[in-house]
Amino acid sequence: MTIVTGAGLWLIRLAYLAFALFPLFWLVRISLTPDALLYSEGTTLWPSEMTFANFTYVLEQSPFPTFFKNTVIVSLGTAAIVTVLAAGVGYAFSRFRFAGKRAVMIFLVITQLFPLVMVITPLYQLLAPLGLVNTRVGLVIVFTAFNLPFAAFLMHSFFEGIPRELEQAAMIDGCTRFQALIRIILPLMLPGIGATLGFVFTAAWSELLFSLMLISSEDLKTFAVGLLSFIGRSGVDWGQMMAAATLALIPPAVFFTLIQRYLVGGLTAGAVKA
Amino acid sequence: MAHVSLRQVAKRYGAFQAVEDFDLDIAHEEFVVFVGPSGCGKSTTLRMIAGLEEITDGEIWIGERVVNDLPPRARNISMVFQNYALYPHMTVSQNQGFGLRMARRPKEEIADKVNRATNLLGLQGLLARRPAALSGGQRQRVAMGRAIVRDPDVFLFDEPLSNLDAKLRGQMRTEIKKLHEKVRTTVIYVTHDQVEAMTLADRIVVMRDGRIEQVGTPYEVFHTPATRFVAGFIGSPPMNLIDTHVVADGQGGMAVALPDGALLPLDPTRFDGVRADGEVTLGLRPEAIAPETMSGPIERPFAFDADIDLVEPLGSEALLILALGQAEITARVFRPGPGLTPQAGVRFVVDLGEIHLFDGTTGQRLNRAGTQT
Repeated sequence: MTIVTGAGLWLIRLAYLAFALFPLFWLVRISLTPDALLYSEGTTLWPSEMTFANFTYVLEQSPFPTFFKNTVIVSLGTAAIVTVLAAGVGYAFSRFRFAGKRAVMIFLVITQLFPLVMVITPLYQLLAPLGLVNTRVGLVIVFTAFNLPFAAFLMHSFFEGIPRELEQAAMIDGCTRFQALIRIILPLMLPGIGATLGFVFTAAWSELLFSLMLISSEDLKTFAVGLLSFIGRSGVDWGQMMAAATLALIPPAVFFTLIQRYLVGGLTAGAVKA
Repeated sequence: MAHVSLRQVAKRYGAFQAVEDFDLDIAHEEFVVFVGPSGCGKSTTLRMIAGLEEITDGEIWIGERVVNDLPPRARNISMVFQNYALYPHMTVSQNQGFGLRMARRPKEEIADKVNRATNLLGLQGLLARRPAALSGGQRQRVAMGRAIVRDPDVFLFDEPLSNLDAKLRGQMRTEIKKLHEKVRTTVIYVTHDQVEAMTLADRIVVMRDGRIEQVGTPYEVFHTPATRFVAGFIGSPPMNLIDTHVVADGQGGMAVALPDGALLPLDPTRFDGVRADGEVTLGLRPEAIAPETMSGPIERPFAFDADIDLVEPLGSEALLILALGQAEITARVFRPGPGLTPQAGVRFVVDLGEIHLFDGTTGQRLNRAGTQT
């Protein structure tokens, strides 16, 4: 049964797209508006004059490039580590029977139920004696810990989507279990790996709470924390903040553009009859 | 030379016995089919031979080696899976050559063997395609090609035709049989389809609840089923199985009571363990029952009256659903005429030489050994 067709469907799609993209549009619009016009011109769809002054300032005079670098390091590091670990956990959950498997899986779900704010103080006390407070490594460890359970479940479901018979066929064809994993399963897992990388990268990229609590040095801050520095004593520098936020959107956008062809999936089509 | 032997093989999951007491010797080049209802342990047994399941007890021999502790790759077997299990990211040609590449065979040898399998299975023109771009029948053929290319000691087939439609299944069945004639390798084939079992097998292993019910040629399992279960499982439409009891016929002989009260006399020299009042199951193949008017000459005829409730014409033959007392039995008649319609009180005959008798409790065959049918 089709409820909406043709032009109606497109109208709904356009309406949704407008709803979803408007905040982005507004972000870019403000970042391009000269400070002088920000309050004087009222609310218009596009300012009468455009400027790149905010971008120039953010890139050349603010510490934003440092924040940016830190965020890239922490996010990529977290995404890579989490994805590798999650692949291991997901594979074990999917392919092996072992004592306590159910309990471990349930326990992982439970860890997701607590609000993060609850653990900030204990976490701080845990990291401080190890010298991990105010380090990028500490941030990566914390992000890894918090993203791993969900990523493991994500990987698990992707492994479940790959028929066991493929590995079994490979093992009969002369592979060890490990060779079957590398030569048969891994190529088919690219969509899952891409999705997990993307998910963890984005989560780490925009994380604010732990970064704010654990990082105090200006040169170690991530951009989410850095954005706060545009809130000054005398007011918010909206134009510069929006310019910085616009720049911060670029890496995730690039990242997803790169992996999107893996996310589309369908790579296992034809392996087995559905 | 690769014969396969299973000695007292068992597979248990905790207290659950998936396979128990499995003893079988499979000769070199023999085509053996494991058949039985789902959950009977046939696939588990095959997977134990493949090395995909560990065995709990017993020994499995392939050729002169005990393979219990050998991983699948060291057993020199090939397997065709129900869902084909083709590698989706490889072309047909890469799929077929994968095993040889893993064995680090020279490129020319791989190309040569893939070529031969391709010609054998009619896969020319498909070599560069990915599995996704193939039809079900083509995928099935590629899976078989992948199995042949490696020159294995034993071919294992796990319900290879179940995912195909009926017409294609018939064609592929023929192809598998032809393939075996050409390749002459030991084949172990699992199916739940007794027609596949009958048509393909040199010997059939009928399984039920993890145990072997009977091992025999298609002829043997059809004509002398060892148990009531085998009698009901092999043959289509299935054998009529009537639970009844033995009565003395008053003249010193024995008979079994039919559902309408009539007595079917038993020749005591042909049956073991038949006692008056003993519970038995009487087995009659549908094709052993015919209306008297359509019956050919019969050696030892027994006549009875029944109502034809329903006629199912199939063209060259027809199934008649008969009411006999409270029971419903099926008869299968050949070259049915147009006058064959539901009607009451028709005289039917069976050949007393064609009756099967099974113990009411154990289900074991009571026909005396050596008395064929």
